[in-house]
Amino acid sequence: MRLAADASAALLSFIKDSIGIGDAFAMSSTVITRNVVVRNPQGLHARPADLVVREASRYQADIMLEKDGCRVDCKSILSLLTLGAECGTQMSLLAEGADAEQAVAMISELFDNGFHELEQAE
Amino acid sequence: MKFSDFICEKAICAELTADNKEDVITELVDSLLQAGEINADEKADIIAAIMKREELGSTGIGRGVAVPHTKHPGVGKLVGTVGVSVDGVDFNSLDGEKVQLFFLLISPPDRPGDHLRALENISKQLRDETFCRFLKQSRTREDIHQLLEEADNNQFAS
Repeated sequence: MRLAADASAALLSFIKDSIGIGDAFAMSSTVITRNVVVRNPQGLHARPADLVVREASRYQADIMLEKDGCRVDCKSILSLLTLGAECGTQMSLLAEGADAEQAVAMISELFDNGFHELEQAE
Repeated sequence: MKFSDFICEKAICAELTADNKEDVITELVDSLLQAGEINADEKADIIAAIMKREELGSTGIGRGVAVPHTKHPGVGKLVGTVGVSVDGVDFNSLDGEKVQLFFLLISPPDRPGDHLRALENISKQLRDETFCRFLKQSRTREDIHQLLEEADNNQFAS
């Protein structure tokens, strides 16, 4: 089995080298995507955006939110606020890198929990 | 949403004199009071609410910009003003930098969408470095107002 795996990895590497896509191909194969919905009534305002940035900054992965074809960096509060995402807004959360899976899991949990605002009477 | 939809021209503060967080918020709220956007008997309450919001986490969002804000029943629609500090004010910003540009917002409690659209507009415009730099260099109310108008006419961020 291991021999077969090594052989296919070597073959994949050979293909990538021969068509000149190298690492870009390897990176794109680790993109994790999940749909998220803004659940808190106040939307993705400054405080939730700050929470997302703080969580995203814990990971090495590139983490993006995509809304209506517009993609922004989850590690920048200024970028997140440009989304103007109200309650009910659906977006795609994308992460690329070694810890992408965990990043997506933790950040989508923030969305699911309404950024801890659901239990508060505002 | 455009700047002209929520920024009160008469309340724009060029060359803020305050040098700390509470004073700069007071100066900006006072300016909205002078412009007739809020009631005198609600000023103290509004300042306290904005300071309370700051305790949850600074609204200094980086790049020398802060968006201090609160919801308050004293306003019928979203009102805001802009202030520029030449030397910058320590605002416990997320990036640790002093803040030179202030966008203070007061919104009615039942209108979260308007607040979000104002934040969206402010952040989109401020991503443009030229707009950000020109605003920091502005020394008169007229200059600031003109820059906001130019931003509203899409002369900066796309």
